[in-house]
Amino acid sequence: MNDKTEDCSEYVVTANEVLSGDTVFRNLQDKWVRGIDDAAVLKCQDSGFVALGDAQKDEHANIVMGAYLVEVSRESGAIRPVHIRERIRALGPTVRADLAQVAQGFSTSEVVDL
Amino acid sequence: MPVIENNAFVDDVWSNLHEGDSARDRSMIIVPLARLEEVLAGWPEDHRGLGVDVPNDADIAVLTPHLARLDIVTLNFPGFADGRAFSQARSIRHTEHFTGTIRARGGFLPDQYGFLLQSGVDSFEVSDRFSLAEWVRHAGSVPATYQRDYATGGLATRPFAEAGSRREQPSFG
Amino acid sequence: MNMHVTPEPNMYRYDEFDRKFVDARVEQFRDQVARRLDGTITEDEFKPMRLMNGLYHQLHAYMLRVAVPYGTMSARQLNVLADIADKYDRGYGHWTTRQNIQYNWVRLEETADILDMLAGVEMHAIQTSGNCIRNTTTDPYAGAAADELADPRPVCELIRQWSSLHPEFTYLPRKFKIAVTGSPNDRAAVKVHDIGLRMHLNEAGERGWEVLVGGGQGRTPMVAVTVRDWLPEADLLPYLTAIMRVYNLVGRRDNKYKARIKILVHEMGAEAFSAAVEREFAEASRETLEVDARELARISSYFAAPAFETLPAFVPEIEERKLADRGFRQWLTANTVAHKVPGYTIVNASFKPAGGIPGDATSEQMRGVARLAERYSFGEVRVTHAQNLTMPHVRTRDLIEVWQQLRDQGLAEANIGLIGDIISCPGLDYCALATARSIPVAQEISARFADIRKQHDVGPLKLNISGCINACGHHHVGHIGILGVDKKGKEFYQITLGGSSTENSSIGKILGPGFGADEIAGAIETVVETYLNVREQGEEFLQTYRRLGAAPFKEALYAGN
Ligand code: HEM
Ligand code: SF4
Repeated sequence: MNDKTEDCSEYVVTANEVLSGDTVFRNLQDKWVRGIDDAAVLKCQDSGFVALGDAQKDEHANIVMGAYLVEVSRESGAIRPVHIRERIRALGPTVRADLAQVAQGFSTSEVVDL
Repeated sequence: MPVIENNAFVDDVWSNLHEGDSARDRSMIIVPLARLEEVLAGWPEDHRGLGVDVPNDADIAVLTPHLARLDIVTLNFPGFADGRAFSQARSIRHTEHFTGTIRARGGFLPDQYGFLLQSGVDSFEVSDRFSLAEWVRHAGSVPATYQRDYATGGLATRPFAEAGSRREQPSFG
Repeated sequence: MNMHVTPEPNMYRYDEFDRKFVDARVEQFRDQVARRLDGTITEDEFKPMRLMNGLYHQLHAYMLRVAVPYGTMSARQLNVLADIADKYDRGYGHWTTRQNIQYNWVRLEETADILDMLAGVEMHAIQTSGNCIRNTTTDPYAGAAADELADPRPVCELIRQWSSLHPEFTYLPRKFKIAVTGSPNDRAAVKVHDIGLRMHLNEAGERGWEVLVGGGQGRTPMVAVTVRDWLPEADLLPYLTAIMRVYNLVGRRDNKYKARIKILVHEMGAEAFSAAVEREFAEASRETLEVDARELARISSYFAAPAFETLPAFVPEIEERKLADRGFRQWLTANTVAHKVPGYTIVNASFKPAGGIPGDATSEQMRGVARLAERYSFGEVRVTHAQNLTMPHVRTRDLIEVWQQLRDQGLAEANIGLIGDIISCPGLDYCALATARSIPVAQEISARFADIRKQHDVGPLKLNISGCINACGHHHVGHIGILGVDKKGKEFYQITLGGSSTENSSIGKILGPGFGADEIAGAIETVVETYLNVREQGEEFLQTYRRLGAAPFKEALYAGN
């Protein structure tokens, strides 16, 4: 299952859109998307930092703010942050299933329940 | 650095006395607070043209005995969020009735220009990051103030109402 | 002919001046947003500006905190809060412990429009965040409670105006919160505020204020100390100004966690601090005193008592129904409070359904309460610091109707002041600072105690939950407090016991090792069962705890481990 070595986890680049405030992720085409399942997964921190550096141009252009790397793993094909805070940030409040990213169509599989 | 007074750029007539510089035979100098007493000791009683630069953690009380001999006090903003100089300005201007120039220096923003004027600051050492128009426009971005005794030129305050005019009588129920 | 006229309660109304001020503030914010978007100012510079207009950025989106000044609003205003929830958010809002409402999903580009809409009904979000003087809070029953000396709201409004865009005190070392009570029974938590004001009357019947300074929650909870037993009302603003000046000049700015005034008072010592304030106060300009007195008189005239009818205090139908209907009786006991005028009653709408999200209100519920308030409470509504709404002036004879209509909206859970009336912050479900979720814990506990009979048997019990040490959920002053922490990536919960935010305020003490997310609700049940076993006749939870200390609770929770 888990093929990553200790210092080579998987990451996605995330930020928040300045205008809407929404959580967004960077996809393979270097565009910002709302669903984590569409994010580009970067192997190892080094490639993560390269992608992050690129993403930060959009910070300077005032399109997004606070870009950073989030460690993820694959769960039944879905991309899921490892830490609970990042999971909730990516998937929406756990206490409002109707407002979760799954319900909004931005995320697949039902993982609101942590 | 450019200096704004009365909403216009003015020539800066002041220079700073740096560490180790002598104040002898000089005029229009701003000296660090730490050297004020020493400089004043050699400063003729009737001589003007002296100012002091006050760090923002200094107790204004130490200035009080000397204010009458000073023409300018400069106050400092290490960053715009550090608001100590607002209270220093207010104390010097309002409590101590200082009539000379109070100048702000450092990292304050145009959005604070109005509050600075209201607190008693009347001279602004600024970088060239913002235009004069940008500064001036902020003098009255909220052209009204609840603090009657902080109102500066042009700011509206609430006109005095006759007590109890709205309803019969003031009542606390 | 059949025109519906919304009753306007007696509360402060904007005049031309207030309107001009708030409108200008909205335009200023619009301009700040535009400059953020065109890059004239950076996010670091914009952040304090947006915060001073109540705009945060949270875990999922921007969050806007709107002030309900000292908790008083009209039905008309509540309807607009509902409209904002529908138009600019996702159909709901969250009542906070400081008498504000938070919207969780607003957009930056629309915020100025929301502020415009608020200004249209004399509301704003000014200074609901940031290192400035925040919304002044007070007793939610102000102007109605049987036990109050006088309505504190005129003084709150005076403070609101004095603190709004104060040129000297808007870049303080840290946030600054003031609470005011006009009743000896403190429902405004004045002892855990930066400044607390308690009204007293002297022998001549004049009002004066006891001034408390340096209370607070957060990571270093402290109970405030009294720096003045009696401050003549006319001296209030000059004295507050003196406190603010001392704090602004010497409050610590080197460490964000030590920047609150409580740390300053603690480090200087209450006496030295108070001496510094008195010195500043002695030099304060007295020319403004007379102005303040006139202002206060002007403001007070807006808060005249509503046109109460002369009614009998005893209403037979109510008494009969009380005997006949347990549900009504329970509701009456828990959710209503004695009014100072015979024939009237204070009614609380509970936003704490069993298993629900404490303090969340849908736009429909807001409109529902607004309708009831129009019909039964002179159009007046309050927000309480326990995250509920109050209708302050309901005729006792209308109570059955009001109860039924609240029940239809799911707002009649008979649990005010009981274990189901949990205060909870948003926690990790919404908050970027959180270390654990708090809402699901509240939901599980309130579901376990869903039996109202059980809740009434347990009696008065304040259970407060925070999702991190910032203590927005008041856990330090809950009789039972729960603090969510992060333990190696897992949610973990610490229990404190013995806190209180009343006139006998105390900070709760940590009971022992924490509990996992799947254990915490069970642990709380154990605490409550233990109390039921050891309490004496008529003894409330807090009294039992104060009598016996933590020992029996520790024994029950940790024995055998
Ligand atoms: C979700 C966004 C929120 C953020 C980022 C936030 C942030 C904070 C922080 C950092 C503190 C600690 C202040 C200190 O110790 O100096 C604090 C305290 C507090 N907050 Fe919040 N808070 C939020 C929501 C709320 C809510 C929803 C409530 C009411 C339910 C609330 C009410 C309070 C209260 C009563 C305190 C403690 C009183 C004090 O000592 O200041 N906050 N908040
Ligand atoms: S207590 Fe912590 S988790 Fe809860 S709202 Fe405050 S900052 Fe957020």
